[in-house]
Amino acid sequence: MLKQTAAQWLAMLAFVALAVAAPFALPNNMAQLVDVMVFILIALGWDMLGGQMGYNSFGNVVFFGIGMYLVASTQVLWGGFSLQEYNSAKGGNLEAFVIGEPAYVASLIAGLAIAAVANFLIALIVGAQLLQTRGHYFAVGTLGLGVAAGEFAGTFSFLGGGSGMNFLQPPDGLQLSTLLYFLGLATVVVFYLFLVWLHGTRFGLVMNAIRDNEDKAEAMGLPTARVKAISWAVAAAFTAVGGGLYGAGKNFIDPTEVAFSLTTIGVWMILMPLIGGKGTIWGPIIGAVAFQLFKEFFWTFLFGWQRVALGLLIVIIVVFFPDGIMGGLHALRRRLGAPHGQEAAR
Amino acid sequence: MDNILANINLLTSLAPVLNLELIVNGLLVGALFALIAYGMALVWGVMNIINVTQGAYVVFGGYISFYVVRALSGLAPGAPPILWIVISMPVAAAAGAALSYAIFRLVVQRILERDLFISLLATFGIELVLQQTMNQLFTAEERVVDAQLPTFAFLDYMVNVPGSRAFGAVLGVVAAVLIVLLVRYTRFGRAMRATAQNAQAARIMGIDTDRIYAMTYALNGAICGIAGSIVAFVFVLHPFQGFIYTLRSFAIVILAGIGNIVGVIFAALGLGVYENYAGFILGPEYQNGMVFIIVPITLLVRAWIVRRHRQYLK
Repeated sequence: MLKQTAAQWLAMLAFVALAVAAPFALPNNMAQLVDVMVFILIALGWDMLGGQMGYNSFGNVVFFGIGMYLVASTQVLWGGFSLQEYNSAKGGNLEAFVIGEPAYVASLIAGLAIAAVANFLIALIVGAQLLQTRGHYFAVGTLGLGVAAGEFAGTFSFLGGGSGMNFLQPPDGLQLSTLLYFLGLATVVVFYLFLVWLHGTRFGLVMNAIRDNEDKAEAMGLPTARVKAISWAVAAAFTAVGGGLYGAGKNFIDPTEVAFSLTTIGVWMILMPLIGGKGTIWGPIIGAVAFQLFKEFFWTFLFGWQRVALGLLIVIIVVFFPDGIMGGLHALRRRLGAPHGQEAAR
Repeated sequence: MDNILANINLLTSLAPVLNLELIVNGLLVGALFALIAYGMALVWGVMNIINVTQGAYVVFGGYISFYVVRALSGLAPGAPPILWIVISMPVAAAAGAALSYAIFRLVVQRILERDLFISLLATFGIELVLQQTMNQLFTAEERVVDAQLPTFAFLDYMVNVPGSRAFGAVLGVVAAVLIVLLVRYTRFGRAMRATAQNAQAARIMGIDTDRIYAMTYALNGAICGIAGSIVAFVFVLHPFQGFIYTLRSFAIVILAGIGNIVGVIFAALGLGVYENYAGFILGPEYQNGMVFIIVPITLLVRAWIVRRHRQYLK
């Protein structure tokens, strides 16, 4: 059971204070800061299943991509334009597709909300079926789903087809990345508080029971099927918000390289909780920040070898440090002989 | 939508003979898929590892074969390329075995006892590493070995079967028969099957199971290498193409069940035919997507079947 200790409240307040101060300290790195918030959202979302419930999904990138397309489409439709016309213009003819600042902001928020709700429902329906398969079957099944989604997204001509879709041009004078950053931060805080609350409830205990032994959980009459589907739905909703923010920040959606990119975002969202320590609340957050730092420092030097670096990172972490930073901290504390009272933070 | 209906109409009433072409071509590539899936089933059955790296080994074998064929045909320009293709197969097999053996010693042997997600993710990571390394070594240009075989036409050019597909199927069947004989009738094969059944008992009987694991993984690499040399002249080679072979094999193995060779063959042939139909009816841009989506679909179908007995897929 996860009760928020005083130390964790302090950590959370410190995190929020740092996060609020970050845009003022690093005004030139807003794009990267937006990515951090997106990464935290998708890492926490992945960890809800992968860490807390033992269901390792390779396919959460599906919700990420669908969310992105939904936000972009909502904005276009909000402006009263036709998707078909907008996408056949391919980002050209900019004067014809302009909306004002209030409409832009309102449609962005509405789009994020629609993306969250829609992906909640999609994950509920798909999950009710797919989550009947366990362990590695679920993992590879979602892998297939993730790759397939990218292939199919490129075939819808009203969504721009294989050449992708542009977001609406943000109005002049709008600090888009600041807006996205604080929207992301707010969502992260909401998600964090939700998770802390959730893990204190019976529902959270059932999630852990499924991870520890699903057969016994089922034998005890726990509603495992329902818990699994709802958890995935919640994770999907927040992942979709992350996708929408990420797409709006990049201003462009490519079906296989940005939206449904299994070999970048799709793996990063698994790697981040692993780096931080899966099955903990702070693990994904720390992992997301650490991964973004790693990526920003090394990614440009690794041009052409980024997948090699990513693959090696996966192998090294999985083989040698499967418990991540949080696990390392626990081991360190145990070795230093600290009292075990707070061990229950898992 | 209209063209989909038109295509279905074409198959059902206008030119039913086209069905024959789709089926024959599907069955011919199915032999290749069966080979790759059999390798995956071996590793899965013996070592309890789902080898996501399968596709990268296939593509690697293909490149080895491509370069061998190119070098040899440079030496003796007149000879038919089929000859060089056949010669390149054992080279590709050896290269695949060497690569996978090295990867086994470096990574895979460390994760044998860990849970399946660890091995899934680790082999996924290796797949990424190999994909991009091959991209750097062999460039992102699409490569193909030209077997210079004619396309056979039957029934007034209504049914066309590329000679390369037929040749690939023949080579695939020969390789598969050899491998099945190896697994059935040699001491190594018996030791491997014993390890798959019960590793602890096998150790007690004096089988060096660690060595068996290494050799099984290398054998899988060799199988993938052979399959890759077939891919090189039947399809095209591209460094980032591995996942489709991995996921095809996975779909075949779940459909068939681990350790069911006959099932693997039928599932692979079925998948080949299915792919050709999907590509023809929906259009070629949907073909890969339809292959990937078959993985969750087969899983669901299998899950529904076992659920009738109140069980789940193990």
